[in-house]
Amino acid sequence: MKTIKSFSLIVVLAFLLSSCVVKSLHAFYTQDLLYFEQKFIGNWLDSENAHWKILPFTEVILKENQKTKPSELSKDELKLYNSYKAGYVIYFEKDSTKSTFLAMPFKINNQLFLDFTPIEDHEIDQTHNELYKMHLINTHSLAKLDMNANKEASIKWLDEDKFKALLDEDRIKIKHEKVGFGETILLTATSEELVKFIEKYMGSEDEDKWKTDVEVNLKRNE
Amino acid sequence: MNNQSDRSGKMTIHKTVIFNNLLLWICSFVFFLFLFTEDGQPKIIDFIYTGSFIATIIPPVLINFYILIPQLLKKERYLFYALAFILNILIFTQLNIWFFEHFIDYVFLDYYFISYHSNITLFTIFSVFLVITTLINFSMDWFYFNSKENRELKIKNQQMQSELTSLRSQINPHFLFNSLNVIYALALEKKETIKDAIVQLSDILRYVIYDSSTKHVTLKEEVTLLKNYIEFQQFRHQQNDNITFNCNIDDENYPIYPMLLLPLVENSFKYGIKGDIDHTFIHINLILKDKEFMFDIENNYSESLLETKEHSGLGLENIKKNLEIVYPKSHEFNISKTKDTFKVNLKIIQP
Repeated sequence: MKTIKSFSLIVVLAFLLSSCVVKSLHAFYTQDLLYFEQKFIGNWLDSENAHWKILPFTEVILKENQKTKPSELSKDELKLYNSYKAGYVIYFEKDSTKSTFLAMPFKINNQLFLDFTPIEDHEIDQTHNELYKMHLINTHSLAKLDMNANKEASIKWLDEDKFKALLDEDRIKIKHEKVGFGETILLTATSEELVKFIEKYMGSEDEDKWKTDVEVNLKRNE
Repeated sequence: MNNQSDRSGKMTIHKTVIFNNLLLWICSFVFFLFLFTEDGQPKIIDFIYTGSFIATIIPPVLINFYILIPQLLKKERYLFYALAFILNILIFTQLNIWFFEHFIDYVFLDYYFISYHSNITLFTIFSVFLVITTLINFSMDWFYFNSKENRELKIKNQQMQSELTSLRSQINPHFLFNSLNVIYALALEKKETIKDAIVQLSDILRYVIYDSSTKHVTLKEEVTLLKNYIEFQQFRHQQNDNITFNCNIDDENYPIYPMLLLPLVENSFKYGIKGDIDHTFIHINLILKDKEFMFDIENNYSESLLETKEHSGLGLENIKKNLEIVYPKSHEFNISKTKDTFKVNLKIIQP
C-alpha cells in the first residue's frame, strides 16, 4: 500500500547494486521510447533461487489505492499513474532480504532496456529510521533485457568498470560527478543525452560492451 | 614591370589573407578549447571536439567574409545582408548539429561526444562568433584603409612639396636673370650706385635663398623684400617713375607663403616700366585687415611692346600654381586688362 505513495517522496539508494552499476540522476529513457513488454510480467526465479515478482505498475497502483479504474484515482495518484503506466513494479526477494524496484521498459534500435529505480516499501523496509532515509537519493540504473521466448529472461546492467574505463581513457564526454569516498560515478547528463549515449554504445565494436558482474538470468516460475 | 609589380602585390595580399586566417583560427581553437573544457584541463576528446567544431564554423565565417560582406554589405544592401547573415548562421548551426549527431561517429569510432550544447546554445555560439569575426573584419578593413589613406596622403604631400620646389626653382633663376640685367645696365652707365645696388641685391638674394625655404614668412618680411626689390629696380629706372607702394597692415606677423608676391612685382617692372618710358607707372596696394589679405598691382600696358606670350606668362602661371597648392579654395586671383593698363588682384582669406 505504502510503496507507490512514498515513491515520489522518499528516495532510496539501491543497496544491492550500489558499487557495480552505472548510476544516473536522470532516467535513461525518454517518453517516446517506452515500450511495455507483456511477456515480462509474472514470477521468475534466478540462478541463485531468488524470487522476482514482476507486476504492471498500473495494476499495483490501483490495488494499493483500492481502486478498480484509473478515473477513481486522486489527481496526484492519476499523475503518477500516467507517468509510469508503461512500467513494472519488481519485488525482489533473496534469502531473507527484500527490495522493490520501479522498472521502466524502453526500446532503442529494437533492443529492450530497463531503467531501474529502487522504491521504498514500508511493509518490507523497516530497518532504517526516517532521519536516515532523508539523506538518501534514488538513482537510475540501466539494464539490457533479453527475453527468450516466454520462459527465460536475462538482465544485464551497464557495468561501472566498463564505463569508468571510457572516462579514464578520455573517450567520452558526458556530464557526471564522482561522489562519496569511493568516488562513485554519478551521471548527471539529461535523459536525451543518456539515450544518445546508449545509441552510440550499442553501435560500439567492443564485443564485451555488455559484459558485467551484475547479471541476472531468470526462469519463469509459475 | 607593371605585371610583375601586380603579381608581387597579389602575392603579398594572398600571404596576408592566409596569415590573418591562420591567426584567427588558431586563436579561435584555443578559445573554444578552454570554453568546451569544463575543468580547464583539456583532454584528447576535447581537442578532437574543438577541432571538429572549428571545422563546422569555418565555412559560415568564410562565406560571411568573402561573399556576404563584399557582395551585400559593402554594396549597402543591408537588409539582404542581415537576412543572409541569419540564414548563414541557421544553416550551419543545423549542419553542426547533424555533424555531431551522425557523421562524427563514423570519423571517431571510439569516442562518445555526448554532453555538449543544446541547439539554442549552439545557435548563440555561432551568432556571437560570427558577429565578433565580422567586427574583427571591419576593424582590419578600417586599419588597412586608414594606413592606405595615410600612405596616399604622404605621397600627395610629397608630390606637392616637389611641385612647390619645382616652381620655386623656376622663380629663382628668373629673378636672378632680371636682376643681373639691372646690374648690367648700371655697369654700362658706370653709375656709382652700382655698389648700393649689389648690396641690395645680395639682401634680396639672402631672403630668396634662405628665408624663402621655410613654409611661411611674416608679411613684414615679405613687404621688406618687395621694398628692397622696388628700390633695387629704381636704380635702373628714372626716379620720376610713378611707382607707389601703399601698405595698410593690421598684423605684421601675418603668415604668408614666401616669394608669393615678388613675381607679380617683377612682372610689372618687366612689362610695365619697360613698356612705356614716358608714362610708366606701377601702383601697388597691400591691405591686411581682419585676416583678409588683399594685394592689387596695376601697371601701364602696351600690347605692341610685349614679348611673346610664352615669356610674359611665366610668372603669373607660377603664382597660379602656387596659390592652388598653398591656399586651396581660400584665395581669389584675378587679372584684368584694358587697352593701357594691366591689373592683378589677389585676395587671401585664411581661417
